Amino acid sequence: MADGVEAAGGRSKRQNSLLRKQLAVAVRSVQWSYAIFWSSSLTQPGVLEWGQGYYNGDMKKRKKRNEPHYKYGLQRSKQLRKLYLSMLEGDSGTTVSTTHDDHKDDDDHHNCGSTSMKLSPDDLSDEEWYYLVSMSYVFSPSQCLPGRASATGETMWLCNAQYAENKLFSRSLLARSASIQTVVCFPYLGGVIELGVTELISEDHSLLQYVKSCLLEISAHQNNDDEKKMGIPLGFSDLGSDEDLHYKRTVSTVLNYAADRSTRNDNNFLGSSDSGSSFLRWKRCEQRNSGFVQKQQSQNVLQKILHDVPLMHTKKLLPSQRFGLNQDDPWDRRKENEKFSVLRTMVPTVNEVDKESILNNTIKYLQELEARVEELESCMGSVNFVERQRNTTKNLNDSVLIEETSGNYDDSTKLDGNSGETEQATDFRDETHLRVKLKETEVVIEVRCSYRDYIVADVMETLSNLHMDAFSVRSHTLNGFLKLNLKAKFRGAAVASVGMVKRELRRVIGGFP
Amino acid sequence: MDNSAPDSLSRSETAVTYDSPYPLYAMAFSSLRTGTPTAQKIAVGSFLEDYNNRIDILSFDSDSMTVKPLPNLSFEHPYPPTKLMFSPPSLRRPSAGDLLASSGDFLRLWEINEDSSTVEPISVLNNSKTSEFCAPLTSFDWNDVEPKRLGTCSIDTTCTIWDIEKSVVETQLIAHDKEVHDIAWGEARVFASVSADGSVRIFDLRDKEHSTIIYESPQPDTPLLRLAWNKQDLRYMATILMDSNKVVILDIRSPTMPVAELERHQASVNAIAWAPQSCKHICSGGDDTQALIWELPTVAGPNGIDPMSVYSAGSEINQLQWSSSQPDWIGIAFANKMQLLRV
Repeated sequence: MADGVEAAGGRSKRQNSLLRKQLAVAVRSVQWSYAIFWSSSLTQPGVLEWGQGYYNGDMKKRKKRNEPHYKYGLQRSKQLRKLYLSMLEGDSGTTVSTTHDDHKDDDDHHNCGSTSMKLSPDDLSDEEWYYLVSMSYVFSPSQCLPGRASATGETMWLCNAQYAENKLFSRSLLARSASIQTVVCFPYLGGVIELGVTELISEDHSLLQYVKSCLLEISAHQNNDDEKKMGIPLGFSDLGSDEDLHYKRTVSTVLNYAADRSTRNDNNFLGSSDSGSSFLRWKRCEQRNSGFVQKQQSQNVLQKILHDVPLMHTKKLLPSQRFGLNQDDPWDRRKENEKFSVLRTMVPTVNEVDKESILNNTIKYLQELEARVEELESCMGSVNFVERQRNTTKNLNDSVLIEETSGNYDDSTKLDGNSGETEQATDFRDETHLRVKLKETEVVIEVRCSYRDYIVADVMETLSNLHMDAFSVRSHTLNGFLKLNLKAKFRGAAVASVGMVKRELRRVIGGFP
Repeated sequence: MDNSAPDSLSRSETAVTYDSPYPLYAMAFSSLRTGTPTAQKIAVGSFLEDYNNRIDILSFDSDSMTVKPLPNLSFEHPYPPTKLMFSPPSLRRPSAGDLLASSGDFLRLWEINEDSSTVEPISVLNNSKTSEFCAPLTSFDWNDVEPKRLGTCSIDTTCTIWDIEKSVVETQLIAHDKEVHDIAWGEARVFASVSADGSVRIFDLRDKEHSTIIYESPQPDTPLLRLAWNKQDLRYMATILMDSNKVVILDIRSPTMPVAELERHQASVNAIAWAPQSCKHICSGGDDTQALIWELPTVAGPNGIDPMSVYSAGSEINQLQWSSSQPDWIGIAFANKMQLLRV
């Protein structure tokens, strides 16, 4: 198929292998890193795209000093090409459709043993990466180094390629990571040959001459008929592609591929196509209502965990209705209200309906009743007391309870549930009597009785048993008669009722009618 | 496998279900112990608005795909546990039992010993020095790298870092202006927290005076409810907002601008979990009864990111756990059930 003038880029297989050899020889002779032949595109006249390449640079786990064999280099170049093509197709691990370049090539015979080795992006060194990504580049006439070289027909020698402007050399970023410092492009055979190296080599015409002569030498060995100068129709087709965008796109495709490969290799994330997975592949049409429908109680449990459950700890009660979801709540509230109304009917109060006054009145009423019971019982002589317990001090704030009785009942047993203290103007007779006054947590006790040994100690012990601590004691004994005035304080929350205190003290004192 | 089942039923034959007598919320997977690689324990906490709640321990056998409760290891817990977590594998334990931590009114540690079928409370940690009352904890996280370090967050706007070996408070920070809802460790000394004030903040224990706000909810004061830090790629975090169907993906290197907002749920999202073995996958569950697995691309398309796979549960999914000890299984809790879904 090498007859006549061929369209630019449509090279025969023999030509391809020749070209490859040429590139190989060229780059190896000067010991540079890579050689690329940019050929004129078949589809877009004037545009340069990847034609052939030979990679002669560092490979991971293999330093250049080892001087890889020519065949190894060829193999590597081929692998890199294959990898690039497979990445483009986004396929992992399946056989890559080989280009016509590689088919039935002379060199293939050398490689048949090793094409099975799959290359993954992680295996590539930075230079190889540069080489691979270069495969994606396309240049319109006068665009970048190769474009300019082919347009002007002159050699372009670029030093410090990694710092070059994007306009001049679009792969400068890549070159930086690969440490490619020098790039040379010169037109050749209708295309452009590009050579690159990781060292900084200043422009050297003799080197170029040497390379070109090598090329010619090789080609001279081949059939000379194949060597025809092909003219490149110079058209100014504007690709309109931003260099940066191209770079980004390529890199992202490649990275995506790499990422895909790694995840797919590591785990089965293929969803439903994997046997035994509970998940189905997501489809857009599955959305019945497009958009977000907010439910009445959204994130119900989660918000309860964050808001209500902590309140449960703080109040030590069930939370007051926050969401209204709890169906028991209105029911509970109704029951509560019912009970309050029952309470109201039982307690003789003024006609106040609100809960707080009902509770207050109930307390008052209870105190009155207690006092009356107390009175009656001491009258009867039976002992029947109920210990009163205070829940929180809130309800009984500022309430003062007083109970007084004496041995004789001529003194009025006046009772005042709320405020003030009724003073009993009793004369101190030598009569056994016991007076207990309760004011919040403080108790004032007056004892008049006949003295016996250890009576004061017994009284103190009794008080202690009733969870009270005496902080003021005055005692006076005269003619076998004891007058004892005590002030005591309740130790904790538990409060003994007046009746209870009296009962206990009476037991100690004894001799009570 | 041919899709003979209609789309509405999704593959429940491959899911392993546990029915509980009460609604469940908290869930934890134990780390694999060298002795029994297949039998793994799962702890589930009940959600009853009451004082009496329970934590049940289940045994999961991935080979036979069964989960069964271990009734001897069920124990009571006061008030619903807001979070459960087993000790990370990096914690070397002399005894054979598993260490489980639960948060609620206090931080409690329990030792679960399958051989002797006992559950022993090890400690009750109260960070309040003055009173018996400790501010209730909304969540906690156990540091994988430094396993004696555990961070709790509470409604009193503070985060407390515990040294659980010595059972002392390492430090306590006032993290936010409002209640802190979730906390997640990044490295040994770095953690992040989300709060009702709508911000995600990162704290470094080496510099306790300062914190970095890396995201604030777009409507001011929209509370952020949950946070998940990608353990495979520490640059990424995910968070969910109150009453929102979006999962917000954040990159800690670019604060305030979320990397992605995953908006394919049809109702509010309740729980999120990063994949334990891959840095690009995240799973979310919500009130629309769906659990979605997403793959985060490097470049997002114009219409947003679509999830990879979906699972429809019977009712709103309240909890989602993707444990590193079982990377092939995702645990979800909805209503009274706990299900293990194969990925």
